[in-house]
Amino acid sequence: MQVYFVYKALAHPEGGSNSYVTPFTLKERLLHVKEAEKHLGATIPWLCDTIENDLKHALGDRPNSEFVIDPDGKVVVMRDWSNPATLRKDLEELVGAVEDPTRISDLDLKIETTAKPAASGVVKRVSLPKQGQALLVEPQESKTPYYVKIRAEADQDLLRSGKGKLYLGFHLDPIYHVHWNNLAKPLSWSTSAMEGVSVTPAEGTGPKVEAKSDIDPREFIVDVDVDRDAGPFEVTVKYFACNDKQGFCIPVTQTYVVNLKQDRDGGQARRSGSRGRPDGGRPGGGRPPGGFTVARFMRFDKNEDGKVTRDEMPRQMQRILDRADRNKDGAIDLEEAKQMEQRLRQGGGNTGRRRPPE
Amino acid sequence: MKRCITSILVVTLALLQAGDTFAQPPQQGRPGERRGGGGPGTAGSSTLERSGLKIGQQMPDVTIYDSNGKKFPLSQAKGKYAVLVFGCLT
Repeated sequence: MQVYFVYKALAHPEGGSNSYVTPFTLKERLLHVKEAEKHLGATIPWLCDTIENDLKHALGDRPNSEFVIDPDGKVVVMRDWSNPATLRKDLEELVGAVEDPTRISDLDLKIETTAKPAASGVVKRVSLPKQGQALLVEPQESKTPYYVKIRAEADQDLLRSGKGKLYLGFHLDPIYHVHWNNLAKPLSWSTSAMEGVSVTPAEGTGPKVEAKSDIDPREFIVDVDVDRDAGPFEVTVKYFACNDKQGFCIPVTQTYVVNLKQDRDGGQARRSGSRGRPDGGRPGGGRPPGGFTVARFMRFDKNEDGKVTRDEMPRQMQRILDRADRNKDGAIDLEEAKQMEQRLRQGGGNTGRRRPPE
Repeated sequence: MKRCITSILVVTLALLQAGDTFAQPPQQGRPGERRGGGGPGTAGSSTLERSGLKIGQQMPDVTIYDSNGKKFPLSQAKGKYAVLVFGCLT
């Protein structure tokens, strides 16, 4: 039996501790794969989807799916969302169980994080009032890498009627370990005049930042009004990209074509506004109330049957059983734990650690 | 990053505990028939099914890449059971 991890398009760009952004090239996606290998420390080989996301498209665009293929190449298991406990049972059924299985405690996976090249959290985040939809952007030819990557998101009005608000975010790509040099000229951007397209303001400049350097995105909200038959428009951005380790701080000018079409592979950044928080995280980014996370919680599954029973939980956590045990089987399985984490991130519950007065 | 990596980590742990030897697949009650094992938003009809892929069909032979950037047609995985788990940094 051979197991592969398959690296695919980011489900939540800007999320995670390093605020990873959507790669533009296969080379950049392969750098993500190297990061994933390093972070996880597992020996399972990684494969990498094409930058056009051919495999993702062929398999239904799910973020965390899993498949088992038989020796003839036929699909014998497919699951929308990876379910480790069920997958283990599947595999035991298909290829047999081992006498002395490896336990979680036997593993010494080194989950490493990469140091940030400069300060973060020093520039105020900006976002659309409601969740925006990622637009298809086409980076134009550039001699230098796209150290900074644009993220364009339209609100529903803009997508529906051609008139609405657009988020333009310029994000440093963490795989290049670059930072802004706030002693140099700040980032600036401009749109080119296109018939039937009105962008207001048509240009912008990043804020003055007191810290000498930082890695926060430079974000803007603009009003867009386009005629029905109007084409895409161009955004040109100028900035200094600086990397202390490699000893460069260079001016860069790059241009994008922004299409008023949804990018099916754009994912959801959920940086703030209606659902997220301005920490650039995934839904309700950061740690949920009470520190409850699925990964932490499932560690209590001592007999590794895919469920955490009351006996397996620490006493102070047993209060969550009633809330999380949706099927009332006296235990919390992976799915119920995920739902609990989701609810907590959205402010819909508590772990029982800080019980509200009754 | 945590979301995908966490899922992958848990899967890794599960996989490491599964068998590594060949056996004939059961003729009935194949695990794949319990597909759509369910995560957020997957209750009911499966997105995978809506993609047109069905249990028993050939995996689409899409050419992707290994971690060194070398082309890897999925048909290359034939010959033994292969598990594909999808994930990303965030």
